[in-house]
Amino acid sequence: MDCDVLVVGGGAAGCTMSYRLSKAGMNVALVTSGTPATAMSCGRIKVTEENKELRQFIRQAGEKYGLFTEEREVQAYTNKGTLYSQSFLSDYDDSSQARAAAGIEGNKDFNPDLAARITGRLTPYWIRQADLDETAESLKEIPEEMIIIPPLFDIRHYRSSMKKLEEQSGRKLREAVTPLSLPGKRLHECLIQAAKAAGTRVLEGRKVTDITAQSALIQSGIREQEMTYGALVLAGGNLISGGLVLDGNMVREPLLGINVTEVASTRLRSAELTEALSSGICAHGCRAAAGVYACGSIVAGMSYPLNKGLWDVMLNAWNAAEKVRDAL
Amino acid sequence: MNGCIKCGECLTACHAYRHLRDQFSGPRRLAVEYPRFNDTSEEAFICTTCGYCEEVCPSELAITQAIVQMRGKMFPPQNEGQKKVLELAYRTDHSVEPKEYSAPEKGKTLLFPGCVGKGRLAGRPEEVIKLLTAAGAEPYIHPGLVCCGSPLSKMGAAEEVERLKNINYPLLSEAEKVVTVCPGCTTMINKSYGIAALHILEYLQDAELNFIDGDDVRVYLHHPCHLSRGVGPHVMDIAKEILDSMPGVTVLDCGSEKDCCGGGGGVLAAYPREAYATADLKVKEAQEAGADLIVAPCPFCAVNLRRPKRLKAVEMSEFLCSRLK
Repeated sequence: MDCDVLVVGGGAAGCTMSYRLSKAGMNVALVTSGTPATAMSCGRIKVTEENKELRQFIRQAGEKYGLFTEEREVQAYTNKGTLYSQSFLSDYDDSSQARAAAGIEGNKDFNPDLAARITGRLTPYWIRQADLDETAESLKEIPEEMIIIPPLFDIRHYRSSMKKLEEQSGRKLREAVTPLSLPGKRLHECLIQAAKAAGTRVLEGRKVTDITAQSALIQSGIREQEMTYGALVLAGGNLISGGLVLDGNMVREPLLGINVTEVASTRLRSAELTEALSSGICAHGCRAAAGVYACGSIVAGMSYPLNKGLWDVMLNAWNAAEKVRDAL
Repeated sequence: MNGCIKCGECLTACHAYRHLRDQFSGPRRLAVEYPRFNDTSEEAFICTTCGYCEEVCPSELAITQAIVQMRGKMFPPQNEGQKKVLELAYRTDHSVEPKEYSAPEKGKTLLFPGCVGKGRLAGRPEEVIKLLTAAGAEPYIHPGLVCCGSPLSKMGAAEEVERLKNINYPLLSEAEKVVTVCPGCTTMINKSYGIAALHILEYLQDAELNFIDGDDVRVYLHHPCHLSRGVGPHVMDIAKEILDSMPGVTVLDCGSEKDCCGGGGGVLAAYPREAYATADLKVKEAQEAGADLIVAPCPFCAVNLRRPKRLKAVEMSEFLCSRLK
């Protein structure tokens, strides 16, 4: 057997599952391609139901990169100026005390005018798109002590560049809570790295194209490879990330062809589609079929239209991992 | 292209959009919006066809293909660099001026040397032959082989590609095994010719190579786009495994390895300054990470990455050859 467990999907659920199984000494392979919804999220996590071990996992995954260095429930301003709760804070996450908002011309992640209008508490500024030194100079001209800026740095440059920007500008900087931006990518990257460090073989840029009994066909560029496994975990997410597909009028799991929900309407803003998004595959106690398990937002009731956030998805995967381990 | 959900992931991933925003409005505009109005733009030539946009696209849209199709509509290209490459192809059947080389003309495994190799710029035929021989192959190069057509297809030169394919096809189809050095050739021969060809690293996967105890060197392993995203990311796993098995070699993990060198897809010819600037950024990252040497398993990337002259950049088979016992 090529691996004990083959996890399909490298978002928050897939990484959490892989981490926990790898830590339990299992041989885990994780296949991931494209951009998981985790990387498109705003990268902030709010605890909804206590689990100390999962808390610890998140802290450790982020530590190396200056992420989630503090546990405290805080509300921060979003890119629209609304408030967003989070339980794990990175150094530049708590924007509740900020009084200024600086947008960068050409950067669509954060519009300070909008944030200022909605909050009534922020003074908006626009600065030019420039290198780090020049950006620091522009920030220096803003009189307020604490300024919200759009996220500017990827995981590799986050800690060092933010520190440098603060030192050079003499201002305290905070990042706006922004979806489809860098914080989501940073969260995704640190989770992938945590799974790798735990021993998971991460097969990036690859796709599972077909499943036979006990083996999967994995596409890598122009080649296909077969991989045998003891158990399969579906962690591909809901409709947007490709774990489920909308096929005609049917929401379907693409690998095993499990039908989920029939959708009577093809309109994107329909009650039927919302229901399909929120349903997912039925996995009784995380087992979807013989030797097949599911976790994360692919599972019925775990999706975002039901207000399930990253914590819920990770907690689901954390608990499912235990069941997979016990079953093998 | 109707599957675009406007998430902007392609824009975040695109190095050309990041570094050359004044000139390049990004993959979404070019591949999704322009074709909708049957419109074309010279900007299409700034794309290195690195495929990063396609990799991150949640809708799995064929963005690169759409951009290359647009180039086809604008054929022939108006920029001086690509005009020269085309003239060269008409005149010599190669995209780089071919030079003399020595290699056996008969054997069992056909080495498709590629234009950059034949031009002796990187991945030189003699060294690749030596490496394949060490791996137990009986390699040969058929003297009649010409450019595979990959660089010309990226310029939209469909007719010229067909002409070159017709020259290569019989020579390739009679071979027992085909091995290539350049990932562009690997993909082209597999997908466009329908002939099975291995990239040299795939060929070396199970070979038992013996390396000397060479000097300690910290290697920055560049992930060529057309290898890691084209032929497949599994090849980079093989590259890492081989380098890890070499005494004295430490492969760094910098995080920027997957970034495009900036030279592919005809950009080195069309926009040499922009190709240089992108390479320079990448080499700087390697330098800051403490690398002594850049190893690129693609002759073309090796050529572009050595242009900034900050660090030595070698093609991977040449590096392996230099440390053979």
